Amino acid sequence: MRSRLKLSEPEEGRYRSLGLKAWFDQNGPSSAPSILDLGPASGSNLSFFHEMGARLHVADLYRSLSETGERSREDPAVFERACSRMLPDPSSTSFDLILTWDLLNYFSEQEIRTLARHLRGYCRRRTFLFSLISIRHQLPAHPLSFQILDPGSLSYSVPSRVLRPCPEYKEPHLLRLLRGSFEVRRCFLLRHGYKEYLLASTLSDGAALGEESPPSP
Amino acid sequence: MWKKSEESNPPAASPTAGPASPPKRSGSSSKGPAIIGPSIQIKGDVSGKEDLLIEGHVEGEVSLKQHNVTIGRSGNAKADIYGKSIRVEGKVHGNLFGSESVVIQATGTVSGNITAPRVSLENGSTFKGSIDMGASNGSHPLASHRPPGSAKRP
Repeated sequence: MRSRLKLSEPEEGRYRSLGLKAWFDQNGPSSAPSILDLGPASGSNLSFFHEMGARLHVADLYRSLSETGERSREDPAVFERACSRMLPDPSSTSFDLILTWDLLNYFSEQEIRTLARHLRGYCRRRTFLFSLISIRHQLPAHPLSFQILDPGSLSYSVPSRVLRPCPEYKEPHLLRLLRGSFEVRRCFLLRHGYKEYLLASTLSDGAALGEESPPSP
Repeated sequence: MWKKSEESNPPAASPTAGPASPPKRSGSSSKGPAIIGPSIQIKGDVSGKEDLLIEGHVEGEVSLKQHNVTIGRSGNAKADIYGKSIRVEGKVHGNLFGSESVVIQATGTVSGNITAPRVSLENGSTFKGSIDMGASNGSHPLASHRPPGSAKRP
Protein backbone atom coordinates (compact mmCIF):
# COMPACT_ATOMS: atom_id res chain seq x y z
CA MET A 1 0.00 0.00 0.00
CA ARG A 2 1.43 3.32 -1.02
CA SER A 3 1.92 5.65 1.93
CA ARG A 4 3.61 8.49 0.16
CA LEU A 5 1.44 11.52 -0.07
CA LYS A 6 1.20 13.56 -3.18
CA LEU A 7 -0.35 16.87 -3.92
CA SER A 8 -2.60 17.61 -6.78
CA GLU A 9 -4.01 20.78 -8.12
CA PRO A 10 -7.28 21.56 -6.41
CA GLU A 11 -10.22 20.63 -8.50
CA GLU A 12 -13.59 22.19 -8.39
CA GLY A 13 -16.15 21.75 -10.98
CA ARG A 14 -19.55 20.92 -12.18
CA TYR A 15 -20.68 17.84 -14.01
CA ARG A 16 -23.79 16.23 -15.29
CA SER A 17 -24.99 13.58 -12.89
CA LEU A 18 -26.84 11.01 -14.95
CA GLY A 19 -27.33 8.79 -11.91
CA LEU A 20 -29.12 11.41 -9.87
CA LYS A 21 -31.07 12.52 -12.90
CA ALA A 22 -32.29 8.96 -13.37
CA TRP A 23 -33.54 8.92 -9.81
CA PHE A 24 -35.15 12.37 -9.99
CA ASP A 25 -36.90 11.44 -13.24
CA GLN A 26 -38.52 8.57 -11.42
CA ASN A 27 -39.35 10.56 -8.32
CA GLY A 28 -40.97 13.82 -9.31
CA PRO A 29 -41.17 16.94 -7.18
CA SER A 30 -44.49 15.93 -5.65
CA SER A 31 -43.32 12.58 -4.38
CA ALA A 32 -42.07 13.99 -1.04
CA PRO A 33 -39.32 11.41 -0.61
CA SER A 34 -37.39 10.66 2.51
CA ILE A 35 -33.66 11.10 2.03
CA LEU A 36 -30.64 10.07 4.09
CA ASP A 37 -27.55 12.11 3.30
CA LEU A 38 -24.40 10.53 4.73
CA GLY A 39 -22.37 13.57 3.66
CA PRO A 40 -22.10 16.97 5.34
CA ALA A 41 -25.04 19.36 5.53
CA SER A 42 -25.36 21.80 2.67
CA GLY A 43 -27.67 24.77 2.53
CA SER A 44 -28.10 24.50 -1.20
CA ASN A 45 -28.90 20.78 -1.02
CA LEU A 46 -31.38 21.49 1.74
CA SER A 47 -33.09 24.11 -0.41
CA PHE A 48 -33.16 21.75 -3.36
CA PHE A 49 -34.74 18.90 -1.44
CA HIS A 50 -37.18 21.27 0.23
CA GLU A 51 -38.48 22.23 -3.19
CA MET A 52 -39.25 18.55 -3.67
CA GLY A 53 -41.07 18.43 -0.38
CA ALA A 54 -38.50 15.93 0.80
CA ARG A 55 -37.73 15.05 4.36
CA LEU A 56 -34.00 15.10 4.84
CA HIS A 57 -31.77 13.47 7.41
CA VAL A 58 -28.13 14.51 7.42
CA ALA A 59 -25.60 12.16 9.04
CA ASP A 60 -22.29 13.86 8.18
CA LEU A 61 -20.83 10.44 8.88
CA TYR A 62 -17.22 10.92 7.87
CA ARG A 63 -16.75 14.09 9.92
CA SER A 64 -18.51 12.56 12.93
CA LEU A 65 -16.29 9.49 12.81
CA SER A 66 -13.17 11.59 12.36
CA GLU A 67 -14.02 13.83 15.31
CA THR A 68 -14.58 10.95 17.68
CA GLY A 69 -11.72 8.84 16.32
CA GLU A 70 -14.00 5.80 16.19
CA ARG A 71 -12.47 4.07 13.23
CA SER A 72 -10.32 1.34 14.60
CA ARG A 73 -9.39 -1.22 12.01
CA GLU A 74 -8.39 -3.55 14.77
CA ASP A 75 -11.82 -3.53 16.41
CA PRO A 76 -14.78 -3.55 14.02
CA ALA A 77 -17.11 -3.38 16.99
CA VAL A 78 -16.01 0.20 17.56
CA PHE A 79 -17.18 1.21 14.09
CA GLU A 80 -20.38 -0.75 14.58
CA ARG A 81 -21.20 1.10 17.78
CA ALA A 82 -20.36 4.42 16.16
CA CYS A 83 -22.73 3.75 13.27
CA SER A 84 -25.48 2.75 15.68
CA ARG A 85 -25.04 6.02 17.49
CA MET A 86 -24.57 8.33 14.52
CA LEU A 87 -27.20 6.95 12.17
CA PRO A 88 -30.98 7.04 12.64
CA ASP A 89 -32.71 4.11 14.27
CA PRO A 90 -33.64 1.72 11.42
CA SER A 91 -36.52 0.26 13.39
CA SER A 92 -38.39 3.56 13.19
CA THR A 93 -37.48 4.99 9.82
CA SER A 94 -36.84 4.15 6.20
CA PHE A 95 -35.57 6.15 3.29
CA ASP A 96 -36.28 6.41 -0.42
CA LEU A 97 -32.80 7.61 -1.30
CA ILE A 98 -29.50 7.14 0.49
CA LEU A 99 -26.73 9.48 -0.62
CA THR A 100 -23.32 8.02 0.15
CA TRP A 101 -21.59 10.39 -2.31
CA ASP A 102 -17.92 9.31 -2.42
CA LEU A 103 -17.74 8.07 1.18
CA LEU A 104 -17.36 4.38 0.35
CA ASN A 105 -13.93 5.16 -1.10
CA TYR A 106 -12.82 6.16 2.39
CA PHE A 107 -14.06 3.10 4.23
CA SER A 108 -12.35 -0.25 4.55
CA GLU A 109 -14.04 -3.44 3.38
CA GLN A 110 -15.09 -4.31 6.92
CA GLU A 111 -16.45 -0.83 7.46
CA ILE A 112 -18.51 -1.02 4.28
CA ARG A 113 -19.94 -4.38 5.40
CA THR A 114 -20.84 -2.87 8.75
CA LEU A 115 -22.35 0.21 7.16
CA ALA A 116 -24.30 -1.92 4.70
CA ARG A 117 -25.93 -3.75 7.59
CA HIS A 118 -27.25 -0.45 8.87
CA LEU A 119 -28.32 0.79 5.47
CA ARG A 120 -30.30 -2.40 4.82
CA GLY A 121 -32.43 -1.50 7.80
CA TYR A 122 -33.60 1.66 6.04
CA CYS A 123 -34.56 -0.03 2.80
CA ARG A 124 -37.92 -0.73 1.31
CA ARG A 125 -38.67 -1.97 -2.15
CA ARG A 126 -37.98 1.28 -3.94
CA THR A 127 -35.03 2.49 -1.94
CA PHE A 128 -32.06 3.63 -3.96
CA LEU A 129 -28.47 4.23 -3.01
CA PHE A 130 -26.35 6.76 -4.84
CA SER A 131 -22.60 6.35 -4.74
CA LEU A 132 -19.49 7.66 -6.46
CA ILE A 133 -16.63 5.19 -6.65
CA SER A 134 -13.17 6.38 -7.66
CA ILE A 135 -11.41 4.44 -10.38
CA ARG A 136 -8.09 6.26 -10.03
CA HIS A 137 -5.04 4.98 -8.18
CA GLN A 138 -5.20 7.97 -5.86
CA LEU A 139 -7.93 10.25 -4.63
CA PRO A 140 -8.20 13.32 -2.35
CA ALA A 141 -7.32 12.59 1.25
CA HIS A 142 -10.81 13.56 2.38
CA PRO A 143 -14.24 13.22 0.78
CA LEU A 144 -15.41 15.82 -1.66
CA SER A 145 -18.19 18.23 -0.90
CA PHE A 146 -21.12 17.95 -3.31
CA GLN A 147 -23.88 20.40 -4.10
CA ILE A 148 -26.93 19.57 -6.15
CA LEU A 149 -27.44 22.35 -8.67
CA ASP A 150 -30.43 20.87 -10.46
CA PRO A 151 -31.85 17.36 -10.94
CA GLY A 152 -29.10 16.51 -13.37
CA SER A 153 -26.11 18.53 -12.24
CA LEU A 154 -23.70 18.42 -9.35
CA SER A 155 -20.89 20.69 -8.34
CA TYR A 156 -18.07 19.52 -6.14
CA SER A 157 -15.21 21.04 -4.24
CA VAL A 158 -12.04 19.34 -3.09
CA PRO A 159 -11.25 20.21 0.52
CA SER A 160 -7.61 19.18 0.40
CA ARG A 161 -4.88 18.92 -2.20
CA VAL A 162 -3.33 15.98 -0.37
CA LEU A 163 -3.88 12.63 -2.06
CA ARG A 164 -4.08 9.13 -0.65
CA PRO A 165 -4.20 5.64 -2.20
CA CYS A 166 -7.56 4.65 -3.59
CA PRO A 167 -9.11 1.24 -2.78
CA GLU A 168 -10.42 1.03 -6.37
CA TYR A 169 -13.46 -1.04 -5.48
CA LYS A 170 -14.69 -2.96 -8.50
CA GLU A 171 -18.41 -3.42 -9.02
CA PRO A 172 -18.77 -7.13 -8.15
CA HIS A 173 -16.65 -6.71 -5.05
CA LEU A 174 -18.58 -3.62 -3.99
CA LEU A 175 -21.90 -5.43 -4.30
CA ARG A 176 -20.57 -8.28 -2.18
CA LEU A 177 -19.44 -5.80 0.44
CA LEU A 178 -22.96 -4.37 0.40
CA ARG A 179 -24.17 -7.84 1.35
CA GLY A 180 -26.23 -8.34 -1.76
CA SER A 181 -28.70 -5.76 -0.50
CA PHE A 182 -28.40 -3.65 -3.61
CA GLU A 183 -28.23 -4.22 -7.33
CA VAL A 184 -26.97 -1.88 -10.01
CA ARG A 185 -29.68 0.03 -11.84
CA ARG A 186 -27.49 2.63 -13.47
CA CYS A 187 -23.75 3.04 -13.79
CA PHE A 188 -21.97 5.92 -15.48
CA LEU A 189 -18.26 6.47 -15.99
CA LEU A 190 -17.40 10.12 -15.42
CA ARG A 191 -14.53 12.09 -16.80
CA HIS A 192 -13.09 13.16 -13.49
CA GLY A 193 -12.22 9.62 -12.45
CA TYR A 194 -15.38 8.46 -10.74
CA LYS A 195 -18.03 5.90 -11.52
CA GLU A 196 -21.48 6.97 -10.58
CA TYR A 197 -23.73 4.19 -9.28
CA LEU A 198 -27.45 4.25 -8.73
CA LEU A 199 -28.17 1.07 -6.81
CA ALA A 200 -31.61 -0.29 -6.02
CA SER A 201 -32.56 -2.20 -2.91
CA THR A 202 -33.08 -5.91 -3.44
CA LEU A 203 -35.47 -6.10 -0.50
CA SER A 204 -39.17 -6.47 -1.15
CA ASP A 205 -41.92 -4.58 0.61
CA GLY A 206 -42.72 -6.12 3.94
CA ALA A 207 -39.32 -7.68 4.34
CA ALA A 208 -38.66 -7.86 8.04
CA LEU A 209 -35.70 -5.91 9.25
CA GLY A 210 -32.77 -8.08 10.07
CA GLU A 211 -33.66 -10.88 7.71
CA GLU A 212 -30.84 -11.90 5.44
CA SER A 213 -31.47 -10.97 1.83
CA PRO A 214 -31.29 -13.77 -0.74
CA PRO A 215 -27.76 -14.33 -1.98
CA SER A 216 -26.93 -12.52 -5.17
CA PRO A 217 -26.48 -14.80 -8.20
CA MET B 1 -19.78 90.80 38.93
CA TRP B 2 -22.52 89.25 40.85
CA LYS B 3 -25.37 91.20 42.40
CA LYS B 4 -26.54 91.08 46.03
CA SER B 5 -29.84 89.81 44.95
CA GLU B 6 -28.17 86.85 43.49
CA GLU B 7 -26.27 86.24 46.77
CA SER B 8 -29.37 86.33 48.94
CA ASN B 9 -31.50 84.53 46.53
CA PRO B 10 -29.88 81.30 45.90
CA PRO B 11 -30.54 80.08 42.45
CA ALA B 12 -33.82 78.32 42.28
CA ALA B 13 -33.59 74.65 42.26
CA SER B 14 -34.07 73.19 38.90
CA PRO B 15 -37.69 72.46 38.43
CA THR B 16 -38.51 68.82 38.86
CA ALA B 17 -39.10 66.88 35.76
CA GLY B 18 -42.57 66.00 36.96
CA PRO B 19 -43.72 62.49 37.72
CA ALA B 20 -41.08 59.84 37.00
CA SER B 21 -41.57 58.20 33.63
CA PRO B 22 -42.92 54.71 34.01
CA PRO B 23 -40.30 52.07 33.32
CA LYS B 24 -40.42 50.54 29.90
CA ARG B 25 -42.27 47.28 29.80
CA SER B 26 -40.03 44.28 29.49
CA GLY B 27 -40.28 42.62 26.11
CA SER B 28 -40.56 45.86 24.19
CA SER B 29 -38.84 45.72 20.87
CA SER B 30 -36.64 48.71 21.65
CA LYS B 31 -35.14 47.10 24.75
CA GLY B 32 -33.19 44.23 23.16
CA PRO B 33 -33.12 40.60 24.15
CA ALA B 34 -32.60 39.19 27.59
CA ILE B 35 -29.08 37.80 27.82
CA ILE B 36 -27.68 34.71 29.47
CA GLY B 37 -24.06 35.75 29.78
CA PRO B 38 -21.05 33.59 28.93
CA SER B 39 -20.30 32.77 32.54
CA ILE B 40 -23.85 31.70 33.36
CA GLN B 41 -24.79 28.03 33.54
CA ILE B 42 -28.42 27.00 33.80
CA LYS B 43 -29.71 23.51 34.39
CA GLY B 44 -33.44 23.48 34.00
CA ASP B 45 -36.19 24.95 31.84
CA VAL B 46 -36.06 28.50 30.55
CA SER B 47 -39.25 30.23 29.50
CA GLY B 48 -40.37 33.79 29.10
CA LYS B 49 -42.04 36.48 27.04
CA GLU B 50 -39.12 38.26 25.42
CA ASP B 51 -36.34 37.63 22.99
CA LEU B 52 -33.38 35.75 24.40
CA LEU B 53 -29.67 35.65 23.62
CA ILE B 54 -27.79 32.70 25.09
CA GLU B 55 -24.05 33.18 25.45
CA GLY B 56 -23.68 30.79 28.36
CA HIS B 57 -24.52 27.17 29.00
CA VAL B 58 -28.11 25.94 29.18
CA GLU B 59 -29.15 22.39 29.86
CA GLY B 60 -32.84 21.56 29.81
CA GLU B 61 -35.52 23.17 27.68
CA VAL B 62 -35.82 26.68 26.29
CA SER B 63 -39.37 27.69 25.47
CA LEU B 64 -40.06 31.16 24.06
CA LYS B 65 -42.49 30.26 21.35
CA GLN B 66 -43.59 33.80 20.54
CA HIS B 67 -40.09 35.24 20.55
CA ASN B 68 -36.70 35.05 18.96
CA VAL B 69 -33.97 32.89 20.43
CA THR B 70 -30.31 33.29 19.54
CA ILE B 71 -27.53 30.95 20.59
CA GLY B 72 -24.54 33.26 20.48
CA ARG B 73 -21.03 32.28 19.48
CA SER B 74 -20.14 31.52 23.08
CA GLY B 75 -23.43 29.80 23.70
CA ASN B 76 -23.76 26.11 24.35
CA ALA B 77 -27.20 24.57 24.71
CA LYS B 78 -27.97 20.96 25.52
CA ALA B 79 -31.65 21.55 25.21
CA ASP B 80 -34.72 21.43 23.06
CA ILE B 81 -35.41 24.97 21.94
CA TYR B 82 -38.79 26.44 21.01
CA GLY B 83 -38.98 29.88 19.46
CA LYS B 84 -40.50 32.03 16.77
CA SER B 85 -37.20 32.32 14.96
CA ILE B 86 -34.11 30.53 16.19
CA ARG B 87 -30.62 31.58 15.20
CA VAL B 88 -27.60 29.45 16.06
CA GLU B 89 -24.10 30.89 16.10
CA GLY B 90 -22.78 28.59 18.81
CA LYS B 91 -23.46 25.00 19.77
CA VAL B 92 -26.72 23.18 20.22
CA HIS B 93 -27.22 19.56 21.13
CA GLY B 94 -30.96 19.18 21.02
CA ASN B 95 -34.01 19.69 18.83
CA LEU B 96 -35.01 23.05 17.41
CA PHE B 97 -38.63 24.03 16.87
CA GLY B 98 -39.07 27.35 15.07
CA SER B 99 -42.58 28.52 14.26
CA GLU B 100 -41.14 30.84 11.61
CA SER B 101 -37.54 29.92 10.91
CA VAL B 102 -34.32 28.30 12.01
CA VAL B 103 -30.99 29.66 10.83
CA ILE B 104 -27.65 28.01 11.47
CA GLN B 105 -24.91 30.56 10.94
CA ALA B 106 -21.46 29.75 9.65
CA THR B 107 -20.10 29.38 13.17
CA GLY B 108 -23.04 27.29 14.35
CA THR B 109 -23.06 23.60 15.19
CA VAL B 110 -26.30 21.70 15.67
CA SER B 111 -26.79 18.07 16.51
CA GLY B 112 -30.50 17.35 16.65
CA ASN B 113 -33.66 17.60 14.62
CA ILE B 114 -35.06 20.81 13.19
CA THR B 115 -38.75 21.53 12.67
CA ALA B 116 -39.54 24.85 11.02
CA PRO B 117 -41.20 26.11 7.85
CA ARG B 118 -37.95 27.77 6.80
CA VAL B 119 -34.50 26.41 7.53
CA SER B 120 -31.25 27.97 6.42
CA LEU B 121 -27.77 26.51 6.70
CA GLU B 122 -24.97 28.94 5.98
CA ASN B 123 -21.74 27.76 4.42
CA GLY B 124 -19.43 26.60 7.14
CA SER B 125 -22.17 25.52 9.52
CA THR B 126 -22.27 22.00 10.90
CA PHE B 127 -25.48 20.07 11.21
CA LYS B 128 -26.45 16.48 11.95
CA GLY B 129 -30.05 15.39 12.24
CA SER B 130 -33.31 15.49 10.35
CA ILE B 131 -35.04 18.53 8.94
CA ASP B 132 -38.79 18.81 8.68
CA MET B 133 -40.09 21.89 6.90
CA GLY B 134 -43.68 20.78 6.83
CA ALA B 135 -46.04 20.30 3.88
CA SER B 136 -45.86 22.59 0.86
CA ASN B 137 -49.42 23.79 1.51
CA GLY B 138 -48.17 25.89 4.38
CA SER B 139 -49.40 23.72 7.22
CA HIS B 140 -46.81 23.17 9.86
CA PRO B 141 -46.67 21.30 13.13
CA LEU B 142 -46.07 24.57 14.98
CA ALA B 143 -48.54 26.72 13.10
CA SER B 144 -51.02 26.64 15.97
CA HIS B 145 -49.65 28.48 18.97
CA ARG B 146 -50.14 26.61 22.15
CA PRO B 147 -50.08 28.48 25.45
CA PRO B 148 -46.74 28.30 27.22
CA GLY B 149 -46.55 25.48 29.67
CA SER B 150 -49.17 23.39 28.01
CA ALA B 151 -46.95 21.94 25.35
CA LYS B 152 -45.60 18.51 25.90
CA ARG B 153 -42.03 17.62 25.10
CA PRO B 154 -41.72 15.53 21.96
